[in-house]
Amino acid sequence: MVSQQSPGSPVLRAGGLVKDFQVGSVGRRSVLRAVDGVDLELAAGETFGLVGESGSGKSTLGKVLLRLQTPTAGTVEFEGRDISRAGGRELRAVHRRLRMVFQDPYSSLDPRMSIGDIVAEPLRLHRVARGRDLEARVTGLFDQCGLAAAWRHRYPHELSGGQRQRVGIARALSLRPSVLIADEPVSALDVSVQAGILNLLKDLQADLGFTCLFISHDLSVVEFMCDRIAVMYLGRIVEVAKASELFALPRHPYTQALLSADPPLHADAAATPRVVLSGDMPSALDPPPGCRFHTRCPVAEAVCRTEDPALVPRAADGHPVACHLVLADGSGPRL
Amino acid sequence: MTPVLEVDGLSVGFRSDDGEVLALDDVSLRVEPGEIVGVVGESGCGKSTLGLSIMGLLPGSASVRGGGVRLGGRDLLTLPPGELRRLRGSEVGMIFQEPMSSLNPVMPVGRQIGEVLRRHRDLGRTAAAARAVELLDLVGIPDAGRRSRAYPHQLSGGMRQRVMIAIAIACEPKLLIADEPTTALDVTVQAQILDLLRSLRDRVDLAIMLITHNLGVIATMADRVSIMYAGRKVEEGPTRDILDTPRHPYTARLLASTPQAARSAAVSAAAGGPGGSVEAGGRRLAEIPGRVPTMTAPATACTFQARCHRDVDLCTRVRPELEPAGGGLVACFHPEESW
Repeated sequence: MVSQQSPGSPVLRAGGLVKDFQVGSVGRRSVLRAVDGVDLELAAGETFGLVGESGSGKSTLGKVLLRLQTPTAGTVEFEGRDISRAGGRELRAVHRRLRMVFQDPYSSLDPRMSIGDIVAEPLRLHRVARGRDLEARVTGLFDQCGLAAAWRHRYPHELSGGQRQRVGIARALSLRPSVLIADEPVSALDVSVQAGILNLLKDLQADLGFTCLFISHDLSVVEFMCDRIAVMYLGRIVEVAKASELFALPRHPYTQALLSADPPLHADAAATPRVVLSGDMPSALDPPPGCRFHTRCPVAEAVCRTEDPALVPRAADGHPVACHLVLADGSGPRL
Repeated sequence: MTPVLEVDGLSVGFRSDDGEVLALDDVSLRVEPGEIVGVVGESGCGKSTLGLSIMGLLPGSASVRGGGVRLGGRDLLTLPPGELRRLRGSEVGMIFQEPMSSLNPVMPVGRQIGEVLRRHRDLGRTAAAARAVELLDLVGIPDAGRRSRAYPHQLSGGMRQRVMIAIAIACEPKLLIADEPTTALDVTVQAQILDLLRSLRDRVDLAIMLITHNLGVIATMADRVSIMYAGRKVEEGPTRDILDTPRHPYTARLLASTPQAARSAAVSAAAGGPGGSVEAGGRRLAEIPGRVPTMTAPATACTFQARCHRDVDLCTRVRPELEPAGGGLVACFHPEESW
């Protein structure tokens, strides 16, 4: 498929993206800012990882980028067009080329439809194919996703978790999207099954060339899958870098703590000292002033409590980090 | 020294619509005082059933088909229900993945700890309340006096798991069974809870049976580890040995399927070492073809044989028993040796 984009230009872009939710009962309403001023760009063909803990806003960001939700402020551009306020027919057209894979392959598949029909449904709804052409497309998708053609008449409950996720992926790819947003696609699966799904996503991407936004809490999965990674904390991106760079030299204190908290399998990997953060992530209903992370940061200084650090490169060759304490040579503070 | 826990040849079956399913098939396990023993496996391997059997908490559809469980030298399975209840809580405590479902939502957490103390330790209301605050402090809850009056929903997931740990250790049991204690928690909170469990082992000599699917958690916590597959224990040994030089083909493939293995292999390849499970350039994870069998009767052959890369006639006819290998035990006729 020929891309309408010139090589290297972003296929999906967010600018100053904000998403608020009204919470509480009448008279006691307050605003929960789930996504708080996010800028990001996905280059065509790359796999971009979004990591963070629960409450970091990564899933909400995914939904706003997909325009399952409307941003409170800021813009979402897809293939060069502003889709922030798109609706109706325009949004339907967007959703042919911007598709999603969900975490739980069971609850996201209609239990009363055969898996052949599930995979065919987007092709029918968007009137892309019918009759023999439709059959051929579904057969091809089954083959590509490692599903036996003989299973077409089976129902989701007859499949294992891994097979159901393959159905979810086949359905998402049926319209040959240019961007796939995968929100925790393997976190409900056993590790040996997860390996098959991750390999499949890599193979499909190599064959089909789609761009992927991969949302996960699992650092080692994100490292394996992604070219670039953004780390989120309390609605903000705090660091964004090439995967190899982020894991070799994490700069933001939160990134450092997050990486060190992920237990290594082998002793040689345990050379990096473990940093155990105290406390929990503050509530997005009442975020701390200054740097959002200062309440848990082991090296926070006075400036961190008052001034909000911007996500900018802190050295000539450095990647963007939202931390006041990154040194002039670009290295992060020692925890 | 008497082991805290001895499980000997335990078999547990579940009734289902399709007949009997054997969740545990002749499983043995020992936990020494102050030891952290990991039990690892994927869904359906029987690891949670093992924990519930020890606690006497099996559901009605399950029944013990053979073997025994000894806690501090006493046989649990023949104990009358009243005595078993007394033993549970005072000799062994258990924590689960989801603390919210184990806590009473309408009772302050301090009182929930106090209840346990009053039932098992005969403490009065005031003494129990004071001890509850001490316990909350012990499990690292800041401002324990005030927090003891909080309801579960007012606490974060990590704090709730700390409360569960306080309840489980309230009567100073020798053994804590922890079934996926950090699976529902964020990784930075997981690190806090693992630190707490380790410090309890060191301070009060608590033995811990740590049931998890997370190999990284095992690597940082367990002294010894047992690998389970399809209701059977297939390998056991010191944690470092098992993770660095697995002998059972299932253990080896399970480790190779983790993204961490791809990372180590990439590092090793960059250093000119062997490529491991990663194909040149392509960065793929090792997969295990096929799926876990559902056992309806005791195994008469190797349960992993259909998915194993070694296609040996013997494995399809005879069940391999656990035999000494290296510093541990492995149930395989052709264990991995090329280390």
